[in-house]
Amino acid sequence: MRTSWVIILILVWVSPLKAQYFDKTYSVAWDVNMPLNNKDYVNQVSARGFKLGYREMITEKVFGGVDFTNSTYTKHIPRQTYINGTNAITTDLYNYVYNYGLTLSFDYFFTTEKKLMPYAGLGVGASYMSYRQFYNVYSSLDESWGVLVRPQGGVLYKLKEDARWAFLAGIHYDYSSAKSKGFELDAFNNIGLQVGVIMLEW
Amino acid sequence: MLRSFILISGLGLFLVGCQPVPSAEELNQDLVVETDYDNAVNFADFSTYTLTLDTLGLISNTTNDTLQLGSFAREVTTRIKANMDARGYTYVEKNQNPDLGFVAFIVNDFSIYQTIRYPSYGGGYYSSYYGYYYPIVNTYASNSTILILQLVDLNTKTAQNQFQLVWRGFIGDLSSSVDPFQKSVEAVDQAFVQSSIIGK
Repeated sequence: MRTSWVIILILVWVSPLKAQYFDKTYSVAWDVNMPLNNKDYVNQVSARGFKLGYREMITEKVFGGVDFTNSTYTKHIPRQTYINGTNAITTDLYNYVYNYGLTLSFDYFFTTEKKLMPYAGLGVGASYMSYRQFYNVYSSLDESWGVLVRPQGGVLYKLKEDARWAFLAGIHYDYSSAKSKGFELDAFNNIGLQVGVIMLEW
Repeated sequence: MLRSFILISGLGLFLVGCQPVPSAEELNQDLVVETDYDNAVNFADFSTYTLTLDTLGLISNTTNDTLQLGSFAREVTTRIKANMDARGYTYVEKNQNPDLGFVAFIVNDFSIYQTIRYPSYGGGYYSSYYGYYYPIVNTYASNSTILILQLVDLNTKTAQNQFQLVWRGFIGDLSSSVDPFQKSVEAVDQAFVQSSIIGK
């Protein structure tokens, strides 16, 4: 009997730890992106990007929140002459796209109790694109807003089961309807890889 | 601890990733050369031209001088003459009734901007406890210089009684150039290279 009480007490003590599902997360990740179209304007893989994320538990496996993302795409076009009717201009061009996204995001976790926690999700929100073309001391600018849709997936990896933080690795595809009329660019698509850390709160 | 790390990392990434721009060294390697011409003009109809050698016109808000002399002006006008000669035109003096006039001048704009910000800590400029808050003055300066080339038809005048402009070239920015002397000379050549319309 005494032994049973000890076991029950231990279970009472231990079980909350086992059942301690996180219900909030904060994440920061380095975001490496590659444009999939508009490659005449920007074609370089961009390591200049990041993601900040926040989630709250909706159900045991579904989390919802917001993501703020930023990435910068570039392309250098060596010096050449552009002819337009009677006008001609010779210069090299540095094309830049500054991309900001704010999405309402939902992730489904296939498990929330193990060290390795895969997830898949979808973010929908707004995208702001700033297109800038630098040549010598001069520059041209075009800005646009659009709808951003971002299917995403990845894994969280905790070093210990009761760890309050985890490594994050993810992949995402972004579609932004923000076009550039000035530079005659189409809606922007890219894929990206994210690596970072996530804080788990309960 | 981790929250602080995330906040600091996020801020760091934000600052790094926000809006990087190409370096001035990359941007100013070569000058921009832009040209345009009057499509209604047949440049083969002209035979002679004139040009003020060794001198460039000067329009600047930092000096009252209207002429730029010296080796830079000499080198630039020499290149212009070499290109015009190579296109089959004959150089003549101004009093020899030339068909074309070649005008080359520099436009320089030097500007200074100042912003004044008054710290609003405590809601005023003077606090009996902390004393007087001095305004913070930031000063910015910009300097831009372009070389303008113009070809005018000396046989035709516009309704405003001015000679008809038939071709022009803008070369900039000389102020930011890593080598304004040599790059300007190269840019003069480039202005002709991209203007194959000029020639007999």
